Amino acid sequence: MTTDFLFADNKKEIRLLHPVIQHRVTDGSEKIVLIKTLAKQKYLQAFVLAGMAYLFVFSYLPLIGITMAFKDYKISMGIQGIFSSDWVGFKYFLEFFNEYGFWKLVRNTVAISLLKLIFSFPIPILFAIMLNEISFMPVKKLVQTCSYLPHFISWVIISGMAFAFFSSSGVINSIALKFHFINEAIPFLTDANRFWSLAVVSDIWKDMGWWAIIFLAAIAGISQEMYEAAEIDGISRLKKIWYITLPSIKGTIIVILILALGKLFGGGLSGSNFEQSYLLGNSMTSEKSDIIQTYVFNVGLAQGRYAYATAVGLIQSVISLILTFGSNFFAKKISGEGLF
Amino acid sequence: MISKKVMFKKMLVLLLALTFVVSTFGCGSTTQNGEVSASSTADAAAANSEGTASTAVSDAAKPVTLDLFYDFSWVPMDNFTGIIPEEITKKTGVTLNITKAVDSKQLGLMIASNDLPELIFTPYERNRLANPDLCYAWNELIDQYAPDFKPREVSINIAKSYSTDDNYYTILNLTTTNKEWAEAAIGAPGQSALYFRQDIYEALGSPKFETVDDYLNILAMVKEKYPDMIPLGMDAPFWFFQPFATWLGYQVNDFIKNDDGSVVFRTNHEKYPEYLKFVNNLYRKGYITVENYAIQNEADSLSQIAYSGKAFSYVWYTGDKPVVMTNATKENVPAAEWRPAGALNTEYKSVRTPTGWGGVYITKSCKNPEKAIKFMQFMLSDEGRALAIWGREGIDYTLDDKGVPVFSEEWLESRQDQVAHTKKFNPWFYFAKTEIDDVYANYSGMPDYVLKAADELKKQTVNMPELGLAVPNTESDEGIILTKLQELLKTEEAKIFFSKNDDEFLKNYNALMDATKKIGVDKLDSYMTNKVKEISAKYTFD
Repeated sequence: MTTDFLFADNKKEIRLLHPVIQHRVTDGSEKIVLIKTLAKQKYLQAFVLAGMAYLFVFSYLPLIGITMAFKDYKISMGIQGIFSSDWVGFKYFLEFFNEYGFWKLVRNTVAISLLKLIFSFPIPILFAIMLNEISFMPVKKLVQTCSYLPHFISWVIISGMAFAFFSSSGVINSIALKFHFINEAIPFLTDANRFWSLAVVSDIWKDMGWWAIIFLAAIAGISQEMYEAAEIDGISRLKKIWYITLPSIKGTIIVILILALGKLFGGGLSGSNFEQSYLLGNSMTSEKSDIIQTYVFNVGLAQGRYAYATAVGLIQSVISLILTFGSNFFAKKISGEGLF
Repeated sequence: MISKKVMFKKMLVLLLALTFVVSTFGCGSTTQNGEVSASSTADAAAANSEGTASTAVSDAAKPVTLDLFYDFSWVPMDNFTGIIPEEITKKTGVTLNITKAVDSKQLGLMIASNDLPELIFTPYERNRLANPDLCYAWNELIDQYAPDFKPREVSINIAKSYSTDDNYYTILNLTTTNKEWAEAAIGAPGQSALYFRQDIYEALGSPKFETVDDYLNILAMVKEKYPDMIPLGMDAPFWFFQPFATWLGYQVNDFIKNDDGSVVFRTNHEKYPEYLKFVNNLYRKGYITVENYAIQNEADSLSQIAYSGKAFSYVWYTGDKPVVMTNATKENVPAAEWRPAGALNTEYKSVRTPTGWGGVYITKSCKNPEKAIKFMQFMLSDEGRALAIWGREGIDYTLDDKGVPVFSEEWLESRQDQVAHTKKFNPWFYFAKTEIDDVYANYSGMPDYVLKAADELKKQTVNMPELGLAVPNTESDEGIILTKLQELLKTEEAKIFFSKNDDEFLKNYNALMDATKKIGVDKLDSYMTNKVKEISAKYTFD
């Protein structure tokens, strides 16, 4: 069993948590035992079945649709057309590679995603450590609450807020003009060269506090005795962070990093690339804001080219899968810890 | 002892049963507002159809119920009740059981699964529904059951252009010929128009305002005297610059027909560079703003530029807009008065490519095609068309000496609240209205300056349905080229409009033209030229 290693040194826990495994180990008539166990756990198993059915219907059944990427499927053929349409091989993949704007899409997708990984990923860790250093609880709670609330605001609302704050007649430009800091309004929202910064900064603002919760939870699990021992040794605050806090939450950081890498092209932790590109981007910023996901949305839903859109989406999914497995492999090699 | 195989089978059956239950509950429910999803539609339609047939046979005096799929999901109506439907039933002996579309894709899936109700009212799927296996040909039903029913020729021609067997399977509404427009008493074909602030214009000393150059001079004066104002504000993007394009001899439609009969995508038209330079000039002189063009918030916030008094001139749709804008702007600037600019160059025509909108299809599921075609005969008659959108003659409206409806106080008051108006009158069964029926309703009671500008605009407008009918199916190779070009223009054209200098303009222009060639614009032009010639040779639309 793949879970054996988790409890390799504790057979008692195996018995408590995995009766099926335990019976298999000790009893030859495993079928009867299995049925008896399942009958005993019928209500619990019903929950499992519901979860499995959910996964099957919404995660596995739709995988059949991937075949569309290799078929001459048109929406007018209906559902059965997915099976009856002709095979076209890699036609749509080649079309995408030769598409006008292909490199622009790839560049923007990779650049925005990497920028977010570089800036949006470490900031929640630093923020959590800083929060942890605040000893006055009311302030700590206030800062934490204020910082994670933006997570619950939808990107649609944020795009409206961005307009109110950053448009040429918005709050920022109005104040700057009023006090003569600038002579003419800064085109935050219509200058393509500012889009990447806008995407990264707004992403950090929205989700920094939310992801800090996980790291705060990890920090809370660190034994206070280590800090006390360090204090007796006269170690400084920064060194405590460096030598105790960070190594202690290394596992959590790696798990979150692997998850973020898996969703790299979706926008990392917050998975916000599509929403940002679609809602904050416009015809003037398209040179820097168009990404593969918005392209898939346009050709798929807006233009109705489902087969082609599936092929393009599949390319991104395959790269994401490779990134997840790759990052997990290297994480295990380097630190000995991984997600699976 | 239960074998491992049996156990596995049982588990599988249990899993599948659960999946089935989840799927069933997830896909076949009735929504809260009464809309019914695709899967339940079929059952309801079948049940009702059967019931209808037997009822019709047993009691001829009772109205016949026909099931109708109403493919306009945005319409705030989901039943055939209210004053107008009741009147229609009295006149035709038909009542409708309405199933409203959930979205625009639903009909496509219904056709794919051959799951159609008796009647379909839709603006979509014209080619697929013009199919003898799915629908009755109207001409065959007319020959058999209603030989005195004579639909308009232009509508027949447009409908025939979608079929492959020379039959027509519907008659689309909103089809109007150039001749009918010329004879229309009031109003203008729907398109964008330029409006300006009369009060500011007068404050500038009422300078000459007859040509495009005059207009540009006035914008310069506005810019100088009112530096905080936006000289030209705009609404939705696809027709931002249409009035100016027309006055320059260009069109913002996808396709433009040259004098020699060839048809080109609009980037291949000889006046395209001139049009781009005109717009770029508006930007470089500070008359238009990038944000107004590029950032598309909801329409309400866009029109705030006009309502707040920030804009001197504004491009918006024809109709009652100057009245609406004046009333709304007066709340912020009491002296504000919006007026239409009229035609600033009458040398060129504005080209429209109308191909009709929605049509009723009588499907092979229809149990009583005779009643259905006779019902449509009434709905297409002058009486039926007027009843469907204007209400009852003599009660809800009376005709003036030009034949334009003058509505009752009750109707006008009710019309202010769309929900209440729908509940009371339900004017959504416009199966056969023409554009002129619509225009009469919209322009009725408008002030003289609106009617005068509309008349000028009408004279400057020409309809070329053949250009619209020739547009390739989106699933064809040419259709894919067209959608790619449309997507390309959405972004690349903006870069040219808002180029900061000549070098940038040229660079962006060349990049756009290279991209159009790479996508295949010449192939599309060749297709369209042949297709328009073919349609023009076969049908007339005047």
